Amino acid sequence: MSARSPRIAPPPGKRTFLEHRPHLFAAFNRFYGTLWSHGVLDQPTKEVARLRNARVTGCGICRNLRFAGAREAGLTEELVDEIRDGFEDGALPERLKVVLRFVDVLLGPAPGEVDAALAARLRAELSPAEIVELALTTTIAQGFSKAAVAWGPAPDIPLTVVPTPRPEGTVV
Amino acid sequence: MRETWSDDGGASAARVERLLDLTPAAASLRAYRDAVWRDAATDPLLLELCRQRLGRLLGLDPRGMKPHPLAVAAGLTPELLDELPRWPTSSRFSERQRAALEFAEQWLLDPSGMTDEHCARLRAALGDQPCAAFTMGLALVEALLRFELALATCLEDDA
Repeated sequence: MSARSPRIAPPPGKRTFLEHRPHLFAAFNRFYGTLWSHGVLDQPTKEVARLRNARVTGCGICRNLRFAGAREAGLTEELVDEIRDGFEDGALPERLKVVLRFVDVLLGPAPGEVDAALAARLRAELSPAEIVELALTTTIAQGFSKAAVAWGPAPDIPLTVVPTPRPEGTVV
Repeated sequence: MRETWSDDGGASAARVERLLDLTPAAASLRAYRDAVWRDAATDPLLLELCRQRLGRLLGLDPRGMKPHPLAVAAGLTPELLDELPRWPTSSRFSERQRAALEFAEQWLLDPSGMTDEHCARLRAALGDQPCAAFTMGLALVEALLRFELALATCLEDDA
């Protein structure tokens, strides 16, 4: 764990500097909670995308958080271990490999370069609404991982299972 | 030739809105987006400059990037956007804008490479509350730019 202090402190008694604008943070939580708890895409697929982002972006907090809903729906630690570079040769179901191929392009330097073959594979696996949610979940998670990394430190935490975000709750 | 937004630059934004309508989270996303842009600690011109810079670096055609109306109301001009690629040296940009654009570029390219100095310059330029609003704004605008770019291929017939 880094001993470095955060580059910006949270307000007294709060956990994140984003709470310097509490009504904005609350609006974010309502959106993120709705996306996770009232969306159309299943939670294990969203969790796979979120954890891939955590590893690509290098957020030690996000990487070891687990949302309970995805676990309860069958996303085991054995499957989580497969969300790594070289996942193509691993044991993930083909549907999740397609998802990760898309997520890697989405998170990369040229998100517009989703080729036609990948787009067709994705559309064969997911509905348009599910693809929209997959893209939103991935890119929003990336933004908040970046915030944790940029304003640091984003230390490695122990594996921690937290409730799936809900509109009335707070992202840990 | 001018590279900034054209009259039909709203077509891409409208397409994004139609795609967002496919998820039950659309209304809460729009409420969050509206809160970010209208927050008293948000400088809409500053956030739009960063959005435009990130969009160009990610591969969006600037002519299709219609600026947020609050940024235009705050003084954003096509001439300023034309100058955006030269922000590190152009006299059109203030030190405050340079600190934000520097932070935004580092954020896009490699947030783990952000230094104490990057963050200190932004905090000195903005203050803590605007830094929090700016960070949430930057995260959101980048997310929606990536969303727009990636889904242009995947869901071209669904919007």
